[in-house]
Amino acid sequence: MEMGEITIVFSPGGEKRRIVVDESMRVRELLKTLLLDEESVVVVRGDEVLTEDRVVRPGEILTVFNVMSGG
Amino acid sequence: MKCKYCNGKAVIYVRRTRTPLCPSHLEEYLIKNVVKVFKHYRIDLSNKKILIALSGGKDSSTMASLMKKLSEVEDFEVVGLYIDLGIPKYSDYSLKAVEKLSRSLDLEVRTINLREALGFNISDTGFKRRTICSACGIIKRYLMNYAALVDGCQIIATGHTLDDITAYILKSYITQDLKSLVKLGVYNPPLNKLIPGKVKPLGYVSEKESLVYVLSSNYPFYHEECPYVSHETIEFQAKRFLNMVEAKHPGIKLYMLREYEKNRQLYEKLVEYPPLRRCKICGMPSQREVCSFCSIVKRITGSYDSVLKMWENNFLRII
Repeated sequence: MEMGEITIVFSPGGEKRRIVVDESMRVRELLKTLLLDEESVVVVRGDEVLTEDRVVRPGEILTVFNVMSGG
Repeated sequence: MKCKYCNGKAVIYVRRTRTPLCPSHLEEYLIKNVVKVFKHYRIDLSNKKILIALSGGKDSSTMASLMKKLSEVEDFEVVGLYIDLGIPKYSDYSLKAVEKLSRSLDLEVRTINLREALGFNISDTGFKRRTICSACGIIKRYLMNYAALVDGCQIIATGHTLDDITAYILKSYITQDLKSLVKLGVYNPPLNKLIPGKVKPLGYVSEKESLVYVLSSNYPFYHEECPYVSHETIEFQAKRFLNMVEAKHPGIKLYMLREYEKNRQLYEKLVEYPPLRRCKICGMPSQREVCSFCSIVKRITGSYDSVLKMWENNFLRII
């Protein structure tokens, strides 16, 4: 199993976090690691919106959009 | 995860209906929910001109896109409105998002610049944060009515979602604020010729659905927070609480809203309003001698002059 870092950028705010994942980690598991509820965030890779069953891999940059934001 | 209808790649799993959807079927689902609002409240859109209130954020971008698409197949017209409050950076970036959205949707958008129309920015008021938010709400509501009247719009559509409305309902229950509670419906019919009807086309749409829609359809929006926003407010905490309940009971927010709508008339009977009169400064409907808007302008500028000047001129600019 290949371990490595993925970079998470949070929006709003732009805070960055790097976490270690293994190749088979799904978005659902990633969100559990980040202590985030699936319904309160949307995970995006590039232009692609990822559902909870999608796999994320080391080396990737993901943006986690918070659903609740104060306008 | 595959879309339930076309087997394409899903971008969302709608838990309350247990349905995975691709971007185009998400759009179809959202349009159906917007149409449900108009049907449920028997809002006749034919030959109407609808003012689309735009903030630059995700929800108003979603609402504008869906309403524009609906207007292309139904017999009504839409026009956007952006109110530039002059909040450093935040208002500039929001306006840029609105400009991009306007081009992307081929939607005609007007702006009102607060400084140009009234001589001040929301950031120059010297108010404390809570007062700024309260004043900002009053100013925006008034300017939406102004724009609708100047531009001949019969209905104002705002981007409030199911999450916003249920959070405000819960807040009103907590504080037992019945006067606010009765106003929280998805649709408030026109009060008279001066106050147009107000509709929340995303009343049956969640914030998550709205966010996934703009992201997966590449519609422009600005996702940073207003510098004056507080996460400690009752409505913000109510939203978080309702999200926790929704996670365990998918569909509970929609159930809450529908039950509220059934009981709304009962709440209305419990509330007594002073008779509506005309503000002695601007002539708009008011429960007091001078309306809240004119009072705020006087407090900030020291006089009512800018209100009168605003009504004598058209401060709507096309972008």
